Amino acid sequence: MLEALEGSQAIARAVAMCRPQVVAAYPITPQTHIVEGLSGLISSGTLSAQYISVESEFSAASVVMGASAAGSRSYTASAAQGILLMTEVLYNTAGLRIPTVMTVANRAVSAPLSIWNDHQDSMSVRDSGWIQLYCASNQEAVDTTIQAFFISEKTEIPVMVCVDGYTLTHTLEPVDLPAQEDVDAFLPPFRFRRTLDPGAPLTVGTLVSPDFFTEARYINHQAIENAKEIIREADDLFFGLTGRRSGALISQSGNPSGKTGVLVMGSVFGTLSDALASHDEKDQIRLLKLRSFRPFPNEELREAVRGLETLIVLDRSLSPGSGGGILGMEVRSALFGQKSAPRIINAVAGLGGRDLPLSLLGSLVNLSKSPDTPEFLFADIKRSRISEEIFPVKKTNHAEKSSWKNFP
Amino acid sequence: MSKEKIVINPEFWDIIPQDYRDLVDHATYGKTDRGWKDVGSSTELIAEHSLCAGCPESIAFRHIMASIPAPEDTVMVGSTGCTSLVFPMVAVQNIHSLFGNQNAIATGLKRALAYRFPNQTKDVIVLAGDGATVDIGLDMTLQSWFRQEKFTTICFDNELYANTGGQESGLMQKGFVAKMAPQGKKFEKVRLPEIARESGCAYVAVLTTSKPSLVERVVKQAVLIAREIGPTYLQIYTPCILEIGKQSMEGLQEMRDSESAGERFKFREFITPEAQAFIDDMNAKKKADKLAASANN
Repeated sequence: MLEALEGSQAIARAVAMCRPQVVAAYPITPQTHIVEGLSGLISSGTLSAQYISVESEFSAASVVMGASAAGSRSYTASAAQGILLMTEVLYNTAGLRIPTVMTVANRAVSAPLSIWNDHQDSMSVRDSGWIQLYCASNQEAVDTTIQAFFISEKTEIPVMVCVDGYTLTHTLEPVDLPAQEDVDAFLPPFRFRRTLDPGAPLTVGTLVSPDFFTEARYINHQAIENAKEIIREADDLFFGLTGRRSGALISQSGNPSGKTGVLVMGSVFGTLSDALASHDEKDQIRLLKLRSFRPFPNEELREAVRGLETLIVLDRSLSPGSGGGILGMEVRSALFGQKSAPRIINAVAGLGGRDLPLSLLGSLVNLSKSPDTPEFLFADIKRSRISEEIFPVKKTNHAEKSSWKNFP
Repeated sequence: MSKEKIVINPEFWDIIPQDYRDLVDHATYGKTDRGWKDVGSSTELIAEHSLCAGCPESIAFRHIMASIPAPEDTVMVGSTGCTSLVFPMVAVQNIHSLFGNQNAIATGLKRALAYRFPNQTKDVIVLAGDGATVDIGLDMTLQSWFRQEKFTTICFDNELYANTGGQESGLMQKGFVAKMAPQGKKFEKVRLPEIARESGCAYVAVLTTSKPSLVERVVKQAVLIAREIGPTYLQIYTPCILEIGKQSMEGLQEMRDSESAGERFKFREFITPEAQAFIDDMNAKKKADKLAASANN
C-alpha cells in the first residue's frame, strides 16, 4: 500500500521492520529525523531494541560495532562531519568483518560549512572497506535498507545506504513499505558465526604481523569483490517478494542504443529521468544509474557503456588536486584501455546543495556536442560570484620583500 | 582588531552606511569602563542576530560581548550550533572550526598569540553550546583544563541540541522528555562545573543571563583570571524557548525561575585562593587609583 512518507520516516520504519536489536545515534542534520523516528518506534514498543543516545558519532559507530560483535543486528545513521568523525571506526568495522548497516544522509563536508546535499561525505570514506549503495528515490531507500541487512550479514561486510540529504530525507514521496512477514521471510534472525561468547572465547582485533597482514587485506579485498554477486542476489530476491528492483549494481534507462550517456548516482537520477521524458533528443540519450559504488562494478559498467560515443559522468563530490571528481576518476579507471571506449566528460554539479534543475540534462548533453569541452569541469559554477573578498588573489602570505635573494 | 582598522577615509564618509558610521563613532573598543550598559548604544555589540525572536542566547551574546575587557585584542572560538549563526555578525575576530574541537583550536590560538606577541595581552574565549562542550567535545574541553591552558571557556547551556531540533544532551535534566529521549532522559545532568573545578579551573561560575551586571562581573573576572592564572569556565543557562515550549517573551522568566533557591542554575562560583588573591589585588589597586584621582581633583 502506498503511503505519503517523508524519506526519513520511511527509512526509520524500514529499519524497524528489519528488527535491529541495538540502535546507537547522535543527532546531525539532515539525518536526525531517521533516528528520532526510531527512538519513537522503540519507545512506543513497536520495535523491541536497545536505543543508545551517545555523545558523538565516534561512539555511535563504536557502539554498533560492539553490538554486532556480540551477535546482535545493529543500526546507526549519520552524515557529513559525523561520517568523517567515524572514519577510524569505519575502517575498523570493515577490517574486522563486522556486519552492520548505516544510513548516510549525504551532505557536504565542512569547510565551507554547509548542511546541504552532495556526496563528499560517503565518498571520503570510499576506501574504508564498507559496501556503498546509493538510492535514487525514497522507495529505493526503503528497499535498499532492507536489502542492506541481508547483504551485510551474508557478506560480513558493513553496508552504507546513501540517501541524498533533504532531497530524499526531508521530502515526501509515495512509498510502499513491504509487509512485515515478507521482510521476516527475506531477513531471518541474525546468527553471527564469529560472535563474542564467553562460552567459546575468541580474540577479535589483535595485532597482525607482516607475515599475515597482506593475506588479511587480500581476504577483505576478495570479500568485497565477491559481494557483487550477493548484491545482485538480494535485488533479485527482493523482486520476487515485492515486484520491485533497486537496480542491483548499475542499471540503465532511456534508449539502450543512444549514443550519449549520462551516468549519475543518487536522487538526481529522478530529475534527469523526468527531464528525459520531454527532451528533444531523447532517442539519443542513455541514462546510467550507478547504485553500487563499492564494490565498483567494472565489468557491468563496461557492458553498460558499449556503443556510447560520449559518456558524461555527473559528480557530486570532488578530490581537490586530482584533476577531477571522484566518480569521474573511477569511471575513467574502469574504462581505461577499453576498445572503442566513449569520450568521457566529467562534470561536477550540485555541490553543497546547489539546485539540480530539470534543465541540467540539456546542459549536460550540450557538453558532448563541442569538441572543446574539457575532460573535467564545474558544470554549474557562477564565476561572477568569485570576488576579491572571498579569494584575495592580490595578497600573499609572505612578506613582500623576501630575503632569499640576498643569500649567496 | 584595533579601532584604527575600522576608520574610514573621510572622502568616502558620505557613502558609508549608517551602521558602519555608528561603529566608527561609538565602538567601545579601548574604553576601560565598557560594560553591559553599552548594549543599548553600541552598534558593534551585534545590532542584529539571526536567532529566534526572544532567544536568551542573543541576550547572553550581547552581555558577554559588552563585558569582554579588551575586544580589540580578543579572539573568540565558536563551535557548531546556533552560536555559529551569530558569530558572522559579531565585531570581534572569531573562528569556527568543527563541532567539538573548540578547546583544542583555542589552545593552538592562545599559544601562537603568546608566542607572536610576547609583550602584549591577547585573550582567547571559547563560546560553545552544551553539546559541543560536554558531549562531543568533552575530551578536548577537559584536556585543555588539565594542561592549564590560559583561556576562558563559556558554555551556553540550553540543556539540549537546539540547532538540530531538540535532542537529548548530557547537560539535559534527568527525566526531561526530548526527541531521541521519548520516555525522558535516564541519567542526571552532567556536573561539569564540579568537574571543571576538579580538573584545574581557577575560576568556575554557574549563572543565567537574567542579570546583566552579574554576567559582566563574572565574564570580566573569568577573562582576567585566565590571562594571569589559568583556565576558567562559565556555564550560562540560555534556554531554547522553542524546544521547551515557551513563547518569545518567556525566556527571561524561565531563567529567573531556574536560578531561584535550590534550582539548577542558582548562582554559584568557585575560585582558587591564588585567583582570589589576584582579583583582590586588582580591586585594591583600582580603589587606590580612584582615591588618588579624586585626591588630585
